[in-house]
Amino acid sequence: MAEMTFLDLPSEIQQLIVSCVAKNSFQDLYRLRSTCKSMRALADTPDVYSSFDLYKHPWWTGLRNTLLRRCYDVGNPSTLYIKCVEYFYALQRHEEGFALMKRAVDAGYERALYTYAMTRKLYSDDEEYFARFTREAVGTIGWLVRMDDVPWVPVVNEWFLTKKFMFMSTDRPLFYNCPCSPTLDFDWYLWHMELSKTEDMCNRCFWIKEVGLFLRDFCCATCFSPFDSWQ
Amino acid sequence: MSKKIIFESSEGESFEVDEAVALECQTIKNMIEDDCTDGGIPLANVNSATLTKVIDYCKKHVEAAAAAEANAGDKDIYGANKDIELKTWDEEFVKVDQPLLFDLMLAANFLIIPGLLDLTCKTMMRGKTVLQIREIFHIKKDYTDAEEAEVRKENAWAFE
Repeated sequence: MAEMTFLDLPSEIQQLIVSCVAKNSFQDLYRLRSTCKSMRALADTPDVYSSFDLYKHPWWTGLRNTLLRRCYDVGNPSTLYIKCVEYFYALQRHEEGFALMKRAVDAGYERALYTYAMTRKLYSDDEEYFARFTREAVGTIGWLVRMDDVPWVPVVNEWFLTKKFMFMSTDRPLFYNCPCSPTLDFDWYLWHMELSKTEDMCNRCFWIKEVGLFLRDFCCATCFSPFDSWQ
Repeated sequence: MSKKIIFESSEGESFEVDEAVALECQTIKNMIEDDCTDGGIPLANVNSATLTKVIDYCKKHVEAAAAAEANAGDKDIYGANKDIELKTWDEEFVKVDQPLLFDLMLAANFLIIPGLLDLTCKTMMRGKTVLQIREIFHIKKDYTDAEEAEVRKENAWAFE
């Protein structure tokens, strides 16, 4: 067994390890970065900055916005996602935001695919992307997108609220009138858009519920970074 | 019956595996495609203990892929169903001592097994303190105390 001497490894392997660590945990990366100068240099490369998932960076440190710029400059997919959500849902620049969201999807960013599927449904009534998820998968990623513990704010613009009201008046009755499975108890006062049925509900009801949860819970960034000046 | 491929470890020990398992390694896949695997494949820089683990990993992932295929109706783009069981298996798989983990990473890099490479790389540093990383990987501190304090200060939360 060869003795483990990290710094004797070929530099591309060292870089690979550091990038993998970066993708997985900021905490591990920053500790590794503090071990010696060459680790610090490896941890500060564009490759590493493009590996980060900014959603894994604790928001309470107040450092995320500083990172955002640098990550954005190297085409980091999570920053692309932050930008597209901000454009589409906060600034209502729908076309640009929608195109950016597709780019984040193409870059393989998981959250983007869920948000893109929901946005396609709301924006152009296109359910094509729903078929890309199983119920289990959408449960996991949907919860992640909607319930992240970042201090983001609910979307309150007119377009989004209109979609919400339309949903309440047209889709929600379909959900409750469909006899596919029993409706569970729900509290109208607490959850104005509660959609509860047993798990064997039909596919249409499943997706009505998912869109309903998205409309109820989806939040938007509060940072409003000056993306326009970062071209 | 599926074709067998023979690996030879650095100690000269032979390991016979199904071709499907060997195909998990991009390096071997290229060799198979070039039809140059007759007489076994010598892996001079992979010892027997590491090779055994690598083969275990590849077997498991081939089986998991086959099972997922059989349940194609439940499949999704994240492979969520198979993922839960397989991820648990992966977590157990890398509960090995650091030297073996390091060798596994090098073998995964040499044989080009992206999943194993990613798994070993991220596991290697997980939850370790600066001192532990230095000790395990023989990294010599070349910061002055003031420099180290400065670097730590940049992301102080990570050291709490």
